[in-house]
Amino acid sequence: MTKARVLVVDDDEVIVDSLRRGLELEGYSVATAGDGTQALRVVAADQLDAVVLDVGLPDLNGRIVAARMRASGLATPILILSALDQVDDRIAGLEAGADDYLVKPFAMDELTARLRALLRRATYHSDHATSVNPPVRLGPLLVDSHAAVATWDGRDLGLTRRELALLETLARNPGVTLSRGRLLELVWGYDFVPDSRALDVFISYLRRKLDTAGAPRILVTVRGVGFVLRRP
Amino acid sequence: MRSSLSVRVTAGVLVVVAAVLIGGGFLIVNVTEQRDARDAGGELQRIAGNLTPLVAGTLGIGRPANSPGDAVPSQLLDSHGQPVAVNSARNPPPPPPGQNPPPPPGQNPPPPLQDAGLEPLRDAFAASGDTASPVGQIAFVRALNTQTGEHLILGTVPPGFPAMSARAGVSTTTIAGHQWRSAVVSGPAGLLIEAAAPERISARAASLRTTVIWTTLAGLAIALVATLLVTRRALRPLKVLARKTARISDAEDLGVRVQAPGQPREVAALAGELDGMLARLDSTIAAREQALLAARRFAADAGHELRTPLQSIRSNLDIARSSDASPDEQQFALAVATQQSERMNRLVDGLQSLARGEAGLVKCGAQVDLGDIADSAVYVTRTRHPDLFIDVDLPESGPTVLGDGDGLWRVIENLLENAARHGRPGGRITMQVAPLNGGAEILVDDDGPGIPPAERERVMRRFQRGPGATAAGSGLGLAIVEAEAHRHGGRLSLGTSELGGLHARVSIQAR
Repeated sequence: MTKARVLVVDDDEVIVDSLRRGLELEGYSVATAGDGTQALRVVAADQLDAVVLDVGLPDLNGRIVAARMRASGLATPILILSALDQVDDRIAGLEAGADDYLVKPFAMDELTARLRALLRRATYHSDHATSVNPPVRLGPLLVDSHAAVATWDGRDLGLTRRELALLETLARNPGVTLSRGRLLELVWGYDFVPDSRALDVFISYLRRKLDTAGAPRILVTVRGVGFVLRRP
Repeated sequence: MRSSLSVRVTAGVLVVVAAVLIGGGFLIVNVTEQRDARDAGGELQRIAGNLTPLVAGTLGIGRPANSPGDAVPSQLLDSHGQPVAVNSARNPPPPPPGQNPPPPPGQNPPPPLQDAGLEPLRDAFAASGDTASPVGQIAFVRALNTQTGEHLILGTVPPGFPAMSARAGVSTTTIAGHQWRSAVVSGPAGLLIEAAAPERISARAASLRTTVIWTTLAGLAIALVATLLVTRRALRPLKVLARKTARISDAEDLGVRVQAPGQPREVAALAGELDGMLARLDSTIAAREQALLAARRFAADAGHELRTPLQSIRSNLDIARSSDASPDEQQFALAVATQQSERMNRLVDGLQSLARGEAGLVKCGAQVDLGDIADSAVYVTRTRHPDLFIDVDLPESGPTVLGDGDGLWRVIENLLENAARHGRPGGRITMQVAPLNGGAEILVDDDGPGIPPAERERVMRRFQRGPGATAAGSGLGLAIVEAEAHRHGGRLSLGTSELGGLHARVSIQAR
């Protein structure tokens, strides 16, 4: 098996270097970039399996880098790094199409665990998505992961890739409450429980987008258990 | 340049005074003119009426049918009552009304008037010259016997003067640019008598107008001076106020107040507002200074707290690098360094949360489902502390509050984390979120040792740990909860739980 290639983008050289060494120890092949422009250049030129992207870059905000990558059709998993107080940047990054986030400082183990899961998910999707997953229709809701689009009453919900995967998972199990652990496993491929609110954040985005499209409250929290998508 | 208030007021007053004086003056002139015209007509009518019996007598009206020889010739008298011309009544015949009377027959001077009957008429005409204003000197009197065509003229008829009107009444005529006023009265037996005089009303009006103009100018001058003086005086309290206020900013002493007894009501109101503003400024600045002091203390505290784990990391890394240390000792030192860096991490997180929480009230929050947030926080706590039993009491949905979701998440997460760390290991925690008066309350209990009442106030302050706390805590948890609760218009209160440990309650106000 060839080594997975990861791009690490951060404006702090010490951090880039530490992450590079840590990831290389774990068997990754690492490319680095010191700012957003450089990152986009590497992304265009290199065959990458994942990007670890700091949100606070000096030139282009991490959100812009993620948005440009998604706009150019790249599905490479993006893991954003942010400080605790960069909540807005983090949210913007996720909304621009990033797949998950880690709050600095983090343990090396946590980063590699997430990367492993994201890579596994990405491979799984590229291998199976086209053949296995037919579109799901639940009343006015249509989730088509092949076409990478979800609509309510024909209106595009404008979901990012990860939101789409989350909605698809819930829509394939209508009326079934899925626990947080199960959703993290099905959507992100995590076989561990991350110490973060990432899932809740994605759920709240989905709710907002469904709400904007005029859908009733069908994505419900079952307290103490998890989340369920009710049949509309 | 800004014009001064007194100049503006003066200009306004001048405009008003000028309007009143000019308008009133010309109204008076107009009314006087009209009244004079009416009086003049009446006066002329009276004069003509007074002369009627004499004229009637002179023209032989009221006597038995005249023989031609008895006919009294009409005579033209000048303004001094001297006969000018006499015109035979029957020759030529009288002109029809509306035509000029026959010109004075100067080429045919009549013989001097002998008839004593004319004397009284002449005297009366001369006497009519004494008539007081507004008529002045009577220029001429004409009479016409409409039955016989006999006519009589006393005085001088200006050339171009129209013939006698056949109807009684007052009329105005302009001859060579001069106004004439005449009155025709009807006497007995078809006799018409007219008295006419040059107009004196216009002259009176003109002089009245001049008076009005001078009065106006004088009034304006007086108003100018008076208004300037009065407004200057009236505005003096404002000037005094401005000087006082200027002194405050010069001296930078916000304790001074500018309202003073004796100020007019409006100035006192302004001064009161200024005083209020000064008081608010004063307290704002005091609050800011206090906040600055708190921030400085915060930074000092934070520096001190961070230096401790940093020192530990440094020492342990030195041990790990030392060639004297055994591999086991090196591994142990590295493990401690890692642990201390995690402690530092928690500290920094906490400091940032606290800094956010202390930044002030949530200005524009969103509708947040506090129950969902609690659900998520419980999940995270359970993952971190799988040995604990967490008993959760949440409504099926809600309560919804207006606030900052991230901050509220930190409140619940910190309360749970606090209970997990300081409660009994492997113990029990209960958490309840319930609506309360449109807001909500969060209750977290544990079965640990709790906090003695005397210590409760202290542990809500930052870097203050409870009596049994381990070094792993940041000492910020409850301070963050308190700051966030405060930010949401609520507060944190601590008590003793029915479970035996700490009971923490946070209220979130409805907004």
